[in-house]
Amino acid sequence: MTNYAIRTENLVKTYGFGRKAIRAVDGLSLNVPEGSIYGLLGRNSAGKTTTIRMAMGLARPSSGSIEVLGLDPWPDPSRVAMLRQVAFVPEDKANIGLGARKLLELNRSFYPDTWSDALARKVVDRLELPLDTPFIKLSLGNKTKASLACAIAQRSRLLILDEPTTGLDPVALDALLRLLVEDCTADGRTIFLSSHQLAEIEQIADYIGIMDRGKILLEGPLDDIRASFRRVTVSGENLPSRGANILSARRDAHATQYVLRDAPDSFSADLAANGATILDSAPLSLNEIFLALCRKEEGVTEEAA
Amino acid sequence: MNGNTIIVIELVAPLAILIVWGRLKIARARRKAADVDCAPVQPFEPKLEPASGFVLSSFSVPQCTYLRQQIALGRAFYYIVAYLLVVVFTSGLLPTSVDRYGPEQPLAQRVWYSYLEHITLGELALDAMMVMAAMIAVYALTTGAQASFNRTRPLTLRFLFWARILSAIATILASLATALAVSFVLLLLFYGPVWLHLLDTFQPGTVLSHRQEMHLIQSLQTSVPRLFLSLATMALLVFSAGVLLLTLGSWFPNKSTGRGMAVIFGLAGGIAVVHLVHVVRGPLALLLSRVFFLYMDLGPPPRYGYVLVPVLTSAVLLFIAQRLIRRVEL
Repeated sequence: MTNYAIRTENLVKTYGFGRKAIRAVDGLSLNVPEGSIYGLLGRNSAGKTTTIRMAMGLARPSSGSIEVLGLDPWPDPSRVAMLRQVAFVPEDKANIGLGARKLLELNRSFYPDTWSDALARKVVDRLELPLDTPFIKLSLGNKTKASLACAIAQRSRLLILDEPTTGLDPVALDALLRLLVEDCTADGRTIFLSSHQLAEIEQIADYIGIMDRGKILLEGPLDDIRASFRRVTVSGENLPSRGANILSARRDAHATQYVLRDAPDSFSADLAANGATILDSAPLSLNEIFLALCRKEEGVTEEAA
Repeated sequence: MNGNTIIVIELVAPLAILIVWGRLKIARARRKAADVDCAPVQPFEPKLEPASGFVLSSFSVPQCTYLRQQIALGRAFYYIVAYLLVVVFTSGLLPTSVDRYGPEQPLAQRVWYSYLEHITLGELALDAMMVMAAMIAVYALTTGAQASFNRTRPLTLRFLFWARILSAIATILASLATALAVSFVLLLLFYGPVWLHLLDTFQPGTVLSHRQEMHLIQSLQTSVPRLFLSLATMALLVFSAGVLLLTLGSWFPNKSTGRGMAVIFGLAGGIAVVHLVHVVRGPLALLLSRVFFLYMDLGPPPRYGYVLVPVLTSAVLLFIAQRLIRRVEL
């Protein structure tokens, strides 16, 4: 049986009242398996940060349920039991106005049972984090690194990272990704991260969730997701433009280019059986899948409107 | 130099010194940062945890860490509040303040009356500081990066709240006690035990003007311990009401609007109470000031038993605030 580090069911978060009410999260059902690196992807205002805030007990669900490591993150004492096992990097990297060394020392005192000085030194070294630069002189990237160093050295069962790549240069980003894979997934620990940086997430994540407008559009193991999407270029007569598994269909003078989800091979086989010629069939990158899903969702919403 | 100038200098001088000191500190930090850029990086070798004293020994390590943060913050706040209160309380000892009460009165009477009256006036300054203290206490649990940090540490919200509130109250009481003690010592140093000599110059059959008579009666009737106690209970009450109002304000979807409304309602309520007690002076005002141990005018003091009313009211207000703050979202 799969254990889940984070599990939500029909999760809804509404801000405001009446006409001004905004559904930041709208019936979200998410399953983050324990021991996985789970990337939550979405555009701005997709509801990623709100979901994370509910997972950290900073916001209360309007309806539905959320469990983090099997615990309800809102009420005490289960909130505290959850926080003992979770490390968190918030979206706002301003932290609390401390330089990196002092911030590390402070965090160390909050997690005496799991904290690793050796890991802290390793992260500081790999990310080239200046320990003694005063807070006012820390760049955004260095503030991000300081928050990351604190969270990683905490060695918690679950690491929740909200936009962890903010302000990082490519070298630091590469170092971070290696650190996450090498040092943060041992002993069945889980990483849950939200980001817009699809290419980077694609390198390390084994599970993906794509959110848009508060809803989950797609969730599952990255390899399965990649396998279930294809771009197929077809020539022939009377080709369909709509279908259950057609995300988009673009016609030009000689051919039609489909972006397909779920069983693309059987769709191609059906077309071929009806006399069409398959000119090309290629896998999609995560970025292409993301764009196709978001555009499809936009089209559905516009049609509904 | 007149008294007002001296008070302004007393208030502004430390601020100027703080600004200069702050700039020097920033310059030093910049120099240090420049040196750090050149010097080899010191590895992360955390200092040993300070040993928990008698008070902290019963708390867990994360709780001790949070408490130490609160104590450090309280210490900084203590110096500021104590200094400002010393300035306000001792302003009644300045010659210009003392002379305001009529040269025809004996010095001992003038000094004592001026000292006591400035202490009652100090209540307003103290109340303003209590509103600030309430803001600092509440914001760190309801707003911004600090609140996000605090509320994601493995500590219950009840502990986060009470540790912060109780350390703030301890700071307030300590700074008040210090300011009163300092002002009292300065009174003794410059004028001696004037309260023992209020009737020294009176001969049987001396005719006093109405004002002299009133000043003397009020000076004799005033209970100094209860005046000091009233300052403490009033500060506690204002602080607790501020904490509750600001917590209620944090419940609004738009926190800044909610807090703005809380501050406006709080100020309106405070002004209404002051107006009722000081200006209207009806039976209701008298009852209110007695029951709540509000000793804002020199004269007959409220009974000691009433001290429990503001203390218990404050406890109830804080308890409600604690229940509410658990439901405040960030």
